[in-house]
Amino acid sequence: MSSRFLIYLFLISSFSGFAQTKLIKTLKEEDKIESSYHLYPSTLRMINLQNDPAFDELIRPVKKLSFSILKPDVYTSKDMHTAYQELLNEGYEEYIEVVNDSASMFVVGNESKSRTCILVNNDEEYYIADLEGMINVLKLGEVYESIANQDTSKIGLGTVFNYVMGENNEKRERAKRRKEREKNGEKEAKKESFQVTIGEEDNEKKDTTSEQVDSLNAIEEKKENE
Amino acid sequence: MKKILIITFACLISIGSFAQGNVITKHFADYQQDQSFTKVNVSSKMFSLFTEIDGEDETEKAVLDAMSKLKGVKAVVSDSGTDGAKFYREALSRVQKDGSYEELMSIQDKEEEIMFMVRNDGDIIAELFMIIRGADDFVLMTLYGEIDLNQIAKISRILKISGLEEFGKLGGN
Repeated sequence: MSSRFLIYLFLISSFSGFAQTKLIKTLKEEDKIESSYHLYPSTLRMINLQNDPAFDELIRPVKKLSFSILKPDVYTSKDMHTAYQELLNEGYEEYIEVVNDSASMFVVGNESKSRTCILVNNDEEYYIADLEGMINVLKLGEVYESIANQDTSKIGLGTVFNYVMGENNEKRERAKRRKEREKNGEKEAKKESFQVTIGEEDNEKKDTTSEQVDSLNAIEEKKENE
Repeated sequence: MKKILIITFACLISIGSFAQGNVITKHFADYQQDQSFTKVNVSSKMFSLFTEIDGEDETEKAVLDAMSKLKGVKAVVSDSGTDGAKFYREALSRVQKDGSYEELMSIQDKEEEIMFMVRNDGDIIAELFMIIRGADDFVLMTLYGEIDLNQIAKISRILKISGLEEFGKLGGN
């Protein structure tokens, strides 16, 4: 899935909204969320750098949009399917489902609670988007066209999205480097303790040999004297 | 006895409606199980949300009304590198065997071939089905519910779901 598609997904995947679902609470408790971003009407309007009137119209009924990136090393495809089932058990209904061999997206909503939750898996990366309120679906086409026809790095939403993804990638890189350092540190420590052991063994060997030489010399001296 | 008859009749009607379903569920279940296809499913609940949106003018109101009558959209899309022509022939053969779908319009050029078919339920169009053969890809898409052909082109322009824009060709675009 291209970043352009993900940006669009970021927009369309929610048609009504949510506050904080039980699912998000559980994920926080289980420490499976890598980072979360919360956007309110004011912040959403701020990212409309082009002052596109269609975008303003699209987000007018939005109360809050939250976007969570999940930890890829602890969150799996199985977790996503379990989460999807749990949402359905919570009273959410299926809106949209897109599945292929490397990516999938599930959009579920609870009309009475005015909440929507979107679960996305894109090449083993997992995202959850949550929206409280609604979006003006009639403006989707216009906004999509503006995203499709522009360089995403130059539009406000694209900038925010690229920043979020960039920051997340940096975080992952930092965690990876830290793990490598820890691993290397452990290796070094093991190596040092191994050398110390060998050194001790050598000293013991040296002591044994010198004792043996001394005793041989003593025997020879005794023989000569006799 | 009367009650039992009414319940039985209601059950038969619901089974009948369920059996109608849509062409993808009915004839292309194997494609839906195939990992190499991308599957898209938009539920009736999604379309019912459109009833909550207020259109600003008569055109928007008409589009929203048409959208709210849809029961769902299903699509099966193959990745590039598929023998589109083979799948197209096979899909056409399966649907023609069914007998309840009639050709509405077809478009053919060097690059692609598109077939639009409809299933009627009395006076209303209950399903609008589309088969697309590209040079190396293949798409099956169906809209079902109560279809207003006059509004389909507008809906396709608004939703911008990949593939759905082909329905816009029904409006002469």
